[in-house]
Amino acid sequence: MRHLLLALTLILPAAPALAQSSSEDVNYEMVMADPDNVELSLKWAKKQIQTGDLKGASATLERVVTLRPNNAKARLLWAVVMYRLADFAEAERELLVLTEGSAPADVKSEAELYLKDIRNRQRTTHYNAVLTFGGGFDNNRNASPAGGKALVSGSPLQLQGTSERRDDFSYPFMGTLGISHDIRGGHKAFGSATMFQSEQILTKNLNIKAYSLKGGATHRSALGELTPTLSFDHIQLAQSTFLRSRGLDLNLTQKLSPQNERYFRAAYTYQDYVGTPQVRTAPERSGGMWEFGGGFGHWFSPKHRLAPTYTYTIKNAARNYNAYTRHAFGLDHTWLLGKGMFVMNSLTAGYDRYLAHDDFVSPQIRSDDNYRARSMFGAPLSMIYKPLKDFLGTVSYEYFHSNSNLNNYAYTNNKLSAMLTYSWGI
Amino acid sequence: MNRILLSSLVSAAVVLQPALAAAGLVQIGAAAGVKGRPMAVSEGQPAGHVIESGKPVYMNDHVTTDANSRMQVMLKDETVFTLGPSSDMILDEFVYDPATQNGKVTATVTKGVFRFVTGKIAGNQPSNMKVKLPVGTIGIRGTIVAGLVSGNMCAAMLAGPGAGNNANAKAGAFNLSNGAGSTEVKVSGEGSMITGGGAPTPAGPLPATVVGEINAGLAAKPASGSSDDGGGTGGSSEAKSGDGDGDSSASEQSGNSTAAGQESAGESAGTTEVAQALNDTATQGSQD
Repeated sequence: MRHLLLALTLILPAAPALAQSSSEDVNYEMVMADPDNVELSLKWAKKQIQTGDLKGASATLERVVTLRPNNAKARLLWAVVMYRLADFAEAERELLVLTEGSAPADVKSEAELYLKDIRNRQRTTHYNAVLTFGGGFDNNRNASPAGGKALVSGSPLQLQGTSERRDDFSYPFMGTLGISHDIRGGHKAFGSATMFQSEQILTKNLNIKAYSLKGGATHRSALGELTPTLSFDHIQLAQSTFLRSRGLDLNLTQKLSPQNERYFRAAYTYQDYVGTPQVRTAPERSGGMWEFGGGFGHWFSPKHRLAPTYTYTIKNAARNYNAYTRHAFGLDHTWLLGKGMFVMNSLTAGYDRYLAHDDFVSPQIRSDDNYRARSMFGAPLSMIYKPLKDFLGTVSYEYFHSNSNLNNYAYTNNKLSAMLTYSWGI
Repeated sequence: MNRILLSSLVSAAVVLQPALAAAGLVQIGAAAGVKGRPMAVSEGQPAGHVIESGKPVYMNDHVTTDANSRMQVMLKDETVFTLGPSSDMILDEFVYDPATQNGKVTATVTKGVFRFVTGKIAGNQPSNMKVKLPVGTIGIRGTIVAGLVSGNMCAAMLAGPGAGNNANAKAGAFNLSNGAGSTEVKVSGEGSMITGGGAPTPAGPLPATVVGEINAGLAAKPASGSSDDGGGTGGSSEAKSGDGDGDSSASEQSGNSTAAGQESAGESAGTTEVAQALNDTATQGSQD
């Protein structure tokens, strides 16, 4: 509980903005009484946008443009509202009026950007690439137990040498190539290949390299969007194969209203651990893992979303002291700051109960309670220099604490990281 | 002559409005964005009257536009109908309880080009809104629909919200049906049409001529030789600055810049989850 309260302090700075609301003193009745008052209608359209009613705003702006057909900015706003509604045909029609007419240069150049984007979106096959790289610092990268002691056959032993707590820097890199293909009826198929690498400065035994392949499809129906995904992962630890996994994930996302959505998820992954010079006992962890979960997302305003989640996990393993069940509770908060900036806060609490004791560690059965709090700020670099529009910078802080009845698994880590992401897509 | 006729009609409208209210007609909304001289015939009234922006629209009003007219009808639940030139619509039924946002909307479009944006009623219970056409009916699932009725042909096109919209809007859909069949359209930009007594065509892109006719009827063309606030779009218009929105871009005003943050946040969260899961896997290894 103490840890959750501590984590909440990370999130509280975002709280005052939750109370923000539109300050425009205009309502639908006022507009109905004076519908051809362009200034009033523009105010109303902006309020509709602020409150997330973009459908309504499209009708209001249509009227404004009918009344003031030469108001290029209003026409551009109407077009962008339709673009946001993925009504690309109507958005394109209005954008062409702007680019082919004598609109001011700034309006024309913005319209041209949207036209280009619409043409990309109208393709049925899309490609994307994402590169992420940066640096991170952990103050307990090797998850060294609190108190500097570990149990061996139930007796506490003082940790020494590389087993003692080690802070360390890491340099992660992730590259993803993706493809998606739109299928008639609003469905789509997708695939991606990802390579991840994270090099440590000191704790070289924690150097990670991973390759991942994913493929799946999204089927859209009145019930929601059903997405089955197949995945294959190959993970190396200190340059030796450590884990090969293959899995199937089923996700059903239902949009209940513009403000609310929920999802349900079921997944099965078979984890095939391979012994390495550093971790010879790894195969004892091999086995299937089932995950069942769900979540609910609610937009309190167009800028704030809260999403509680729950996942129940059953992890099977070759040795029962590596098998466990987990109840994981999460709470995510997204705060959109405007101009592409955001803050994401998340809290998770996981309760792991293992099935058997490990004679080598203790006669007691392991039981862990984990708490994680993370806060991340992101901003597009175009805010500093426009040509960097495809780059996103993020800085994040993460606090992790594991309470365990066995001292070996009780530890705390603080992590700071800064990442740069380049995205490309057509 | 035309000026005298127009003047007479406007005078008639001024005289008629209080009389219509006194006749016990139920006001269901207001006319808006009126261009030209649309007419309305109210239930039980022997003659029509010219519609003006801001004036009431009553249940069972029969609204018509001529070749040079267009207008919007703003209903009390925030449903908005746009009627293009040479169009004809009857507002058959409107019941609305603002407290519960429940009610019913039924309209019949017998001719011309139309577009409608659903309001609270369809948002609450989509099956409570219907738009009848001479050879079919449009059933709605919270959405924007544009359409055309010409003789014994009618066409309807989904105009959003589409799948993949960044407005957090539920993707829209509608059903075009008649006695011969039913078609569900759920991809923005696609539609279905009925010719004669045939079944609705399968969902897909409408013929270019039909889309062209809808666009021509609904598009607001810039007027050449005139100027306006916000910079001109037409021929020799002056480019004045400002439309009451300061210097912020349309991306910012429309919330698109903000929504871009949502997409970035989602991607960053995904990347962080992958890195976290891999780090946790490595950490487990170090604990063995």
